[in-house]
Amino acid sequence: MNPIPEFPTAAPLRDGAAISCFEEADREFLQIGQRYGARELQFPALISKSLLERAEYPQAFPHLLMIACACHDPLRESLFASENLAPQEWYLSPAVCYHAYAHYQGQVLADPQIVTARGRCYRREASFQFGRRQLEFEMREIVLLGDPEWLNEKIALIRADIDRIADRCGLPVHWETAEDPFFLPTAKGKALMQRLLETKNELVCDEPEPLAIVSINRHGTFFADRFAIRQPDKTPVHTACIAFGLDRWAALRNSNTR
Amino acid sequence: MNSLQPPRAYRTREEFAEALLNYINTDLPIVHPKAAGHEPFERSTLLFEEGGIDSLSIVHIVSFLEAAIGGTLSLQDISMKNFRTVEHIADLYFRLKSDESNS
Repeated sequence: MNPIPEFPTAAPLRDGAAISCFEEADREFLQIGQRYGARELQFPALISKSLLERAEYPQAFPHLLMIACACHDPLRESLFASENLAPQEWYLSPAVCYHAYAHYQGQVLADPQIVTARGRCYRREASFQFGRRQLEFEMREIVLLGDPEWLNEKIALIRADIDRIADRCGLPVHWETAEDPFFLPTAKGKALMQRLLETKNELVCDEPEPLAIVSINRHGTFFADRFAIRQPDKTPVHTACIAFGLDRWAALRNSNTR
Repeated sequence: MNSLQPPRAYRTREEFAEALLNYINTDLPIVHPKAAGHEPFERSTLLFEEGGIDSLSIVHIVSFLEAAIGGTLSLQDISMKNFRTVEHIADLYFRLKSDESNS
């Protein structure tokens, strides 16, 4: 019998202390959400093609997307040959928050809403390194839906909470204005607007190499327009999401406590 | 990206500001028709809050500025404090040109 090969993994395999470290990191972010009344939700790893298209994700980030496939002919010898792949109506979720906008689709929100969810996400990145850039990773998100003033107030409070956690963990961090990795050159304007309007801010850990570990993303009414989420006066709500890269946090905390 | 580029380097900050204002009011609506139909901009018009400058317009404006400085902007330059109005962009132009001549 041939020796068993080493199989690649898309995310770190954890046990014992590593699991505890990972769960502890997540628990702190969950508690931040709960402190402000976040409702906890669970979402699936698969996300419908139509939902992501509604969110205009495929136009913005086609290079990151991964799709679930079946086989046209399950008896074919070359089972996974490209011509035998039958894409289904499902993508692997590239982020958690898209499920939340769909969850509120068509609703009139009498009050601002905060929800939080943790999920496995998948992005086809150009390179992979555990704890930095993974094909599969876990993300905790806090999603806020309300008027701009309420959003600003809550984001400021949450940001201060995040700073305290980073400080307690001894992580050398700073906040910086950022932009999403839009694929097409025609999206240059979106990236410029993000930077000018400072709609995306990232908490970057400077050591050992700069690495974003939290992102705060303000969407204005972009998602509310697409998912018809309104305030009682019929105007679209504003949304924001705060995303915590749990694998990155866990890796940094782990290396800091060694 | 722009079919209408600034014709030359500008001798002064004021000259650049006037050229940029003219570009936004006259040329931009031609290369980007969605920018048409707006009240004429003034040098102090808040480009985003009052002018409704959209993502494609800002690409054209950045291209105009980069053609004028003969280079590309750094990420640090792309901030609201530099792009709030035509006057602010003219300040950035002047600073970049001054840095260039001092280096």
